[in-house]
Amino acid sequence: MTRTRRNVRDMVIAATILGASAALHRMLDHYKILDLTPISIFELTASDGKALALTFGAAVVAWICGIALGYLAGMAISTITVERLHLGEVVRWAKTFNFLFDAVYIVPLVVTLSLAGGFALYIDTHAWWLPRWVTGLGLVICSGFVLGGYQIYAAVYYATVQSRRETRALMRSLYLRPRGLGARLGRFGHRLRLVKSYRDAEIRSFAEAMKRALHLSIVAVMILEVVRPGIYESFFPSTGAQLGWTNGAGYGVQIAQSNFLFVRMSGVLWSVLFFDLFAVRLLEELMDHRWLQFDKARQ
Amino acid sequence: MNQTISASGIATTPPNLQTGAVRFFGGTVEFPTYVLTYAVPADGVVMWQPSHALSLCLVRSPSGTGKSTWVASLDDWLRGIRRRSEKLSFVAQGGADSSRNAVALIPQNPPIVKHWRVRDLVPEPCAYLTALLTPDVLTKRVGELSGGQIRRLYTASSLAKLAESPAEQCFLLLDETFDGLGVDEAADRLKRIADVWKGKPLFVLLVTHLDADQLSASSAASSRLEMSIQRPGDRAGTVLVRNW
Repeated sequence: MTRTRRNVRDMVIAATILGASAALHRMLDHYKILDLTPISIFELTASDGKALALTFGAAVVAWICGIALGYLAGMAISTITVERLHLGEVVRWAKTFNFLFDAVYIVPLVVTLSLAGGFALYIDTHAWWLPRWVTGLGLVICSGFVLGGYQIYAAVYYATVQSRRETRALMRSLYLRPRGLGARLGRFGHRLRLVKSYRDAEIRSFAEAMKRALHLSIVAVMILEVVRPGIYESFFPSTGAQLGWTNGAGYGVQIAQSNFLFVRMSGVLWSVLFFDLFAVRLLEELMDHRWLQFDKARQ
Repeated sequence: MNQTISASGIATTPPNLQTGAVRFFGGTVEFPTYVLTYAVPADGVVMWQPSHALSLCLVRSPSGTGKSTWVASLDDWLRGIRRRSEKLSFVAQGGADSSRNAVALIPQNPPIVKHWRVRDLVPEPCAYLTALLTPDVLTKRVGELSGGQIRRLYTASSLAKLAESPAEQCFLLLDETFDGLGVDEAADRLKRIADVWKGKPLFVLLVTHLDADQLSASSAASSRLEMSIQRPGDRAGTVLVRNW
C-alpha cells in the first residue's frame, strides 16, 4: 500500500470513528461512557478551541525552531569532530557540548522547563525594556529544542560519529558538490557537506527523528503549559479579567482532571490526537516528496 | 616496469622502491574475531611509478580471504589514519607521507543514497562520467540507476575528486567495482580511465574475481606476485596481485 493510500485510509478511519461516535451518541445517549469517544470534541467550548489553537500553534513553532536549532547544533558539532579535525581545544568543547546536551535530555522536561521558567521570570522582572512575548517565545523554543531538537541533533551527530566503515570510506572519497552557504565557506563548507552526506546515508533515521520531534514538540508544549500557567499571556496580555484560554490546552487538561470534567478532558485529548495524526501525515508527505520516495523506489 | 618476472609469474626482483611502493610481508594479522595468515613467497610489492600517469594493480583471491579488510586497511594507512603498518602486514615506501596522497576507496557494498542527484556528485563537464557511464544519467537520481551504474558513478565521482586535489599522487582503490560488467567490459572501462586521466600519477588497485589473465591481456606490460591468505578453520586461498 502506498503512503498516500495509507494516509487516505487513516483519514477515513478517523472520520469513521468521529461519525460513528456521533451516531452512537444520538442513539444511546444514556450510556455516558460514550461521551468519552471523539464526539466529546463537540462538547468543547469556544474558549477550549482557542486554547487548543494556541497549543497547536505553539507546538508547530516549537517543532520548527527545535529542529532548526537541533540541526544547526548537530551539523556544527559533527563538523568539528568529523575526520579528527586538528583543532584540539575546539574538539574538546564540541564533545563537552555533546555530553551536556545528552545530560539535559535525560533530565525530566518538567525540571528543565521549571529552571528555564524561573530564568524567564527573572528576565521579565529585571529587563523591563524587553517585550514580554520574548520570554514566552523563548520558553516555547526551549521546550521544542530540548525534546524535539535533541532528536534531530542526535540523528545528525550519531550518523556522523557512528557511521559504518564503508560509509566513511565512500563519503571521504566522493566529489560532493558544495551548495548554498557551504560553497562559500571553503574547507569548513566541505566538512559541512561531508556531514550532510553522512546524514543522507542514514536518511530514514533522520526522517524518523523528524517525526519523533513533531510528536515530542506537542508533548513538550503541553508540559510547558502545565509548568508555566498563563504562558500565552505574554502574547495576549489581558487587562483585568483572566482569560482561561491563555493557559493553553495542557493546563486545561490538568484543570479538567482536577474537577472531574472527563468529557472536556477527553475532548481536548482527542483533538490533540487528531492534530498529531494530521500533522505527522503531512510531514510524511513532505519527506516522501523530498527524500523517501527515492529510497523506497525499486531499482 | 623495471621488474623481473619469473617463469611462474612471481616477481623475484623488487622494483625501484625510490619510485614508491607498498611492500607486503608475510605474517599474521589478528582481527577481533579471527586471524589471517599472509604467506608471501617473496616479499610482494605493489608499486606505483610517479613517472607513469597511471599504474594498475589487480588483486584476486577466493571469497572470504580478507581482501576487503586488507584494502580498507590500506585505505586507512594511505590516508594516515592508521600508522601501525606492521599490523596490516605491509609497509610502504614513497606512500607513507599521507599529506602527499589523495586516496579514494569504493567499497564492495557502498551505501546507496537514492535521493542524491547524479549531477551533485560530479563536476560539469566530467570526462570520467562520460568514460564510465552514458551522459544521460546526469539528469537522474542515484536511485534510478542500477547497482553497477551506481558503483561506476561513485568511481567517476572519486576520480573527479582525485583530479581536483592538490596531492602529488592519487590512489584509487576499487573493491570488486567492475565485477558485474564481465572481463571485456571491465578491461574497456579501465582503458577508458587511462585514456582520460591526465596530470599527476594515479595508482589504481582493483580487487576482482574476474579472470586476471584475460583482464591483463590488453595491457602491454604486466608483472605478478602472489600471496596466500589463510583463515584457519575457515578458508584458505591465494591472493593474486598483478601490476601493469
